[in-house]
Amino acid sequence: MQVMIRIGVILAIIMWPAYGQAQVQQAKGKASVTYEGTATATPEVKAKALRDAQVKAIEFHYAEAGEAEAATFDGIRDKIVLNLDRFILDSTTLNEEDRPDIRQYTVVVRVTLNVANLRNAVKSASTVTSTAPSDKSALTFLFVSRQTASVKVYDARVYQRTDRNMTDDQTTSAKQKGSEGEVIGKARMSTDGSSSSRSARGESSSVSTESGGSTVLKANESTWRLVPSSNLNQVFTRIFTTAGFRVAEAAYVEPLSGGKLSVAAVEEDYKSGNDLKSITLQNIAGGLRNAGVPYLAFGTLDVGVLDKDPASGLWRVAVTVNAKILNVASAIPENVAAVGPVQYSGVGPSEDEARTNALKLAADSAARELVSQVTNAKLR
Amino acid sequence: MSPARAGAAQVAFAGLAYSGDFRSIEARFPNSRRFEESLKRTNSSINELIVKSLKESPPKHFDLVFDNLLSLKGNDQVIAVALVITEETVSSEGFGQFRKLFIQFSGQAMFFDFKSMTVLRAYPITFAYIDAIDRESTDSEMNARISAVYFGAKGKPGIVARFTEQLSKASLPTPASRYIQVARVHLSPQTLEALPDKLKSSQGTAATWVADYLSEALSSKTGVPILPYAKGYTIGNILSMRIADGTVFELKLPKPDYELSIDVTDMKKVLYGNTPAGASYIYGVYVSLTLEEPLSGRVYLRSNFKNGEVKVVPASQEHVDDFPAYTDSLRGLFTKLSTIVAGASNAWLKASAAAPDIEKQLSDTREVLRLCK
Repeated sequence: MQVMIRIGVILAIIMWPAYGQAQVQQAKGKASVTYEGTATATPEVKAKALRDAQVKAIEFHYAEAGEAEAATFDGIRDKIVLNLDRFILDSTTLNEEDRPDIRQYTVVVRVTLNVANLRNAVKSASTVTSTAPSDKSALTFLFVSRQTASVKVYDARVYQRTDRNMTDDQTTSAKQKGSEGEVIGKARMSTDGSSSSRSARGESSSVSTESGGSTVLKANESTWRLVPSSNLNQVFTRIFTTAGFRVAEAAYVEPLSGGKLSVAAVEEDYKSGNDLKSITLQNIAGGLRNAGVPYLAFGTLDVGVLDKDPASGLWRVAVTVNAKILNVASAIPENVAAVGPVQYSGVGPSEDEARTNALKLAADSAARELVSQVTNAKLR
Repeated sequence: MSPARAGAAQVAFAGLAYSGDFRSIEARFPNSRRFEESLKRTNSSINELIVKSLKESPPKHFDLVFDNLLSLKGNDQVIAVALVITEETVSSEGFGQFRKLFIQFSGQAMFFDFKSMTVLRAYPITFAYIDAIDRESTDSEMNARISAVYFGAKGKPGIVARFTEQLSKASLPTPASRYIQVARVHLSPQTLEALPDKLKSSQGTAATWVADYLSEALSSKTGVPILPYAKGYTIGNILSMRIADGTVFELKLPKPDYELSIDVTDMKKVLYGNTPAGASYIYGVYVSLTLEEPLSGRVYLRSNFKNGEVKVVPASQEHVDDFPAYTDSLRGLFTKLSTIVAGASNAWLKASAAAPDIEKQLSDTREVLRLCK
């Protein structure tokens, strides 16, 4: 019977090619090991190099996923190294090279990773999982997905001013001077006369023009229409619950908040702007304290313009995510994790499908990133 | 569904597909589309004729099922195969008093995982046809030539027969399958000068043409699947294709484990002999090839190769078209090299390869290709 089961498992692996499935991914790794005392690499040296290369491949997978995920890997590295078989479904050697001249053995492998097991390892190592259910802090979330309803575009306000300064100076002067004299003597008479004239004319003019002005551009004003997001709640609840958190939906927390937490007020704020108003934030913090919920994950998923994907002809939508987790237990609430803005796009045969695909992908990725960050922050 | 052999894996036949941007399919494959329309008027289709050919010579290593692909959604069946036409180049150029007709079709027998939409393996197929006629071809004359491309003529198998043959030999991938791909192609300015305008009309067409020749020669001689040249056919490593019923698939190409680089450094003709009856020329092609594993940087093959084909030009011939001779020379180089890589011994290698340790390099290359099967 045991033999039968093993054959079954092997067939399953062959018939379901590993690549591409969400819980299974491929990564490559390379490792070199130097050796002493032998002319060529021993089987032990080769086995060590192979194991190192496999660990490198897992490290590569986490490094590609971003800082938070890489930090997560650091936390569980030892556990993974000790149980490599649980995380690697298969390993293919792409190149091996023994260099006896420098006593170095190098191997390159491509491994198929069991991502589900890796996630479970992260989860089991997190502070939240090792915390007793009764000691776990509750977390609620307020995510809004929205689409532009109207955009008011302002024309540029242009102010122009020209100062023109003109001076004209003209001076004219004329001077005439004359003298005449007569001398009568003894039968003799003489006259003399002289005249002189001088005239001068000066003219100067100057024109100076000074121009300037300003153009005032006013940012577009957008109003948003909220997109029904019950499936978003499902994505967030699933990922946070799977990671070991005690999750409460905001709608259920609202009645316990002493009238301070209002989902409608949050939605109203997000309809008109990108941020929550101070008063709304203060009310949320106060309300959650009243309800005994110390953590709040909140943010927006903005659905962009719909267009046709030039390659496939399918509808394509981009979604921009902004999200953070707030610890409201302290007197002044603190950010414990933040994501975004990050853009994701989804395609589908209809507008609805493209939007749902993009939102699902964006919510899934944002929630995973938040979980990684809070796991590293040792939230319980 | 066709009767399945007990225990044999099943592969769904997805039909004929055109690669690339769905909007440009009519513009990029006008001759194939016109030929399809002409078949439709006789209540036939290329797909139907492919199915007939596949039923006559079924694959050895798996069973083909001919259900509508979309009906397999949610089914256990995950592997599908399509004949993907990736390139259709038809050029008609004035040449003395003749029109020179150059037809080049490239395609892939492409296996993909229908659930994850990932390419599993691809066997390249190319078909070239060069002809000279004294006038511009009519639509029906062109259709006859496209028919020859798909279904063969004068004993030369067409794309459909080659697709059927590839499928008959093809094996299904295992998780340990390794991928090889032509990753880089470079053509020197002298090489580009020797090519017809049609191959230079858009960026990358000439590079894709060279990559397809090497891929097909290597694949057909060694039986190794080779991923399509990514720069020619994909955007961001996604290859989109439209199958006959209009459905568009977007397939992810896996990253290659081994990369081939081609540098065509020169194409030149040298006078070989001259007699009153005519002259003969050697059309030489100079190529540098590299095969490496990118992560470790290990190089298995790095050598310059050259090949020459002789063409006789009668004294009465006023105009000489060099391109078909260069094509023969390039194809010849890739085919001879692939034959040697496949295991045959050939005196050509000694005169054509520059690397002193070429035998060792080819033995390493052989090993890599064996791993990629």
